[in-house]
Amino acid sequence: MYDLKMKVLVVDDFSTMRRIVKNLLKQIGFTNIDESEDGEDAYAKLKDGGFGFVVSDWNMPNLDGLGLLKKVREDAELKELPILMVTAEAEKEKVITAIQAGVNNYVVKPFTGELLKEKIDKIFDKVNAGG
Amino acid sequence: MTDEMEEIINEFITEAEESLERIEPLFVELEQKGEDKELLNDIFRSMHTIKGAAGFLGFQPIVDVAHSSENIMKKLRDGELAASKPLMDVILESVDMLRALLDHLKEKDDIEEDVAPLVQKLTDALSAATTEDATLPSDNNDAVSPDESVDEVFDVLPEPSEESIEIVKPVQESSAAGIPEPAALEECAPVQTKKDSPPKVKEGAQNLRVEVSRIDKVMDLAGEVVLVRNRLLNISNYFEQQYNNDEQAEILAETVSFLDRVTSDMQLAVMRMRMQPIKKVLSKFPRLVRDMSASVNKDVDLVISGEGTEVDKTVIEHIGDPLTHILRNSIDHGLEPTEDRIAKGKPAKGRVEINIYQKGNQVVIEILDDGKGMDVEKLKQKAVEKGLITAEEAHKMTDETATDIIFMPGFSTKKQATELSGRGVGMDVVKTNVSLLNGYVEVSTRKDVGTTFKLCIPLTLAIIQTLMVEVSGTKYAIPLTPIEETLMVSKDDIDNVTGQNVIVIRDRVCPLFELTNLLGIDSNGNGNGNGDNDSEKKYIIVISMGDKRFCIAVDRLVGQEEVVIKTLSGLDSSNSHVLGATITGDGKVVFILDVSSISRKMIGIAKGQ
Repeated sequence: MYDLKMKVLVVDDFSTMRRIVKNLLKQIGFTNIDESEDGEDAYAKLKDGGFGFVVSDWNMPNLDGLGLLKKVREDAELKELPILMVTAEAEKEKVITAIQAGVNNYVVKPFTGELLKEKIDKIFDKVNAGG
Repeated sequence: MTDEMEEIINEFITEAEESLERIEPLFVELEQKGEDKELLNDIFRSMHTIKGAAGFLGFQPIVDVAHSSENIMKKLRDGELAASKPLMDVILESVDMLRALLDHLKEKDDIEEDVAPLVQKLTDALSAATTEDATLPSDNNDAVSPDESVDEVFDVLPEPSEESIEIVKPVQESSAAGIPEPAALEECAPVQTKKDSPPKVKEGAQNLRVEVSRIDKVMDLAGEVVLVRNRLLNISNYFEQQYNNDEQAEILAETVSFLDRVTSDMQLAVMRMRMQPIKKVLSKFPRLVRDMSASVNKDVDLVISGEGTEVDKTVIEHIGDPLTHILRNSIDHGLEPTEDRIAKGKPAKGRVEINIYQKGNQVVIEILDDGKGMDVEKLKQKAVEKGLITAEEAHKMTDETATDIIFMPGFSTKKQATELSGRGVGMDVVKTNVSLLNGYVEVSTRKDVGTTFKLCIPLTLAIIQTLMVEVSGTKYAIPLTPIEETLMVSKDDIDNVTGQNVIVIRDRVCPLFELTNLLGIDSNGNGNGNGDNDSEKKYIIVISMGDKRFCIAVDRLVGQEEVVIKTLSGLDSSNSHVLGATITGDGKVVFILDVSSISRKMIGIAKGQ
């Protein structure tokens, strides 16, 4: 299981999407949610520390989701940070790339709170089992 | 939760509209620059994002349209298709459709647009373009296209379902399974945006979206505070005079002056909350010019400067139509056909400039064209023919006033208004809308050099600086902006030219009107018997509206005061010359005069009355 009080970062350039994802996370029970509008901003926030989990969109200006993922995995401090990638249905092929880059799981837009929870549960089951 | 949902939907509408507004000029840029990966990706991303969010909110038509055009944008971005006009046209069409769909959401009118034909069109355009491109001989057929290579990976990798995630590690470790190394995979899928693309100015960073109604509420309250502050200033002044050695009175004065400063700062801060860059309005113009120049067959260069200038939200909302109208007019009527331009030795390509800048408390928007200019005599002639003015009036008109004819209701110089600038409305709409914003329009024109429209609009609409004046014992507030100066003249200075009172100010003759006459109040009857009216001295306010100057005579100048405009419902400003009312420092209700309507009545051409 995981601590619902952990700090979660929602990364998306479209503020409506951030709000939707934040709402879904709140439904699941998360209370400590921060947001970023692109990968660069997200990375800076993550570097400040304290985050336990990231939900990131793929298509973003400046640094996209994959770029963020790679940067996090290359970072000694952050490399274990669980990341859930949000993709559109047409981008399944990209999922492979994300898998290669070490994403923990992915979820296809649009998704429900239940599906999101399922994905998060899975991620942390694995993280807990592995660690 | 429903409130939350409603807020999310509103946010979506606003954000999606902003996205569309932002990408629209990019299409034009794209046509000018040719294939630009950054631009293509930008447009793709916006479509993609709108689709994604719409999917969550269950707006299927939006998803469908965005999805179909996203498909095309994706191929363009990945270089699998060449950008062509037909493709751009149908994508622009989908932008329009998305706008319409968002409008319906906004209006909650439950109107359903049939998006199927457009989706079909987009799909057809894509397949047409694809087959066209496929017929082109391709040299590097050996190089696997990104899609195919990924498909190959799919063959090897199990379907990336939940399970695939679980087995990621083992698969990754055995690269013998034929999966390219990450780097290699990236190479054959050059989809990712360039990492070292120039950092863009972050828009919307650290922003909080707040409903306009909430800001307006704060604005309203700030206005009330201003009124209370004004009253307190008065009271404190009174106490200071009455008890001028009293310590408490001094403390009161100090406190109130502190409140005074804070209130001014607060007012400014609230005002700033409502300000937005005018870019919002201008972003649709490159497209408009593109479409228009194609349909009237004139080559046009549109140059915009000062689009970062911030104006009040209300200005943003009301300035779009007038600007569009002027712009259409400039292209349609202002610019000559290309042949004529060449014959005149002008550059074949017409030029329209939009310049925006702040000047004092005003925002100035200029629309310049380098076209043929207006034919003043022709304007007069048409106006007489249409019975808008008499021949005598036409004769008296100076060239400057004659250009104002175009703003008269029911006037249009072309016998048949073309579909583009016509639209059943005339330039009078421009004037009306600008007046609504307490602004004014100026036109200057020179034959074969061009025409300039200049729109001057106050920065804020709610709080204005006024000059308090008094006639017949009643106070009125006159907005300070158009006031050039105030004078005290003696009766001897007033001359009479053909029945019109005038005074000469520094060698310039200025018509003079009595405020009592303008407002239709009896100048002597209901005055509180000050009897000053006939004194030797007169107070004169010199008003300058654009290029017009005139003077208003009043009984007394009371002083300058910052007032909050409270609109009065059911009041026709053009007839009553009253803009609204305010409560002054001494707690009285005072009318604020509408100088532009006074100016129109007095100086403008009498509209046949």
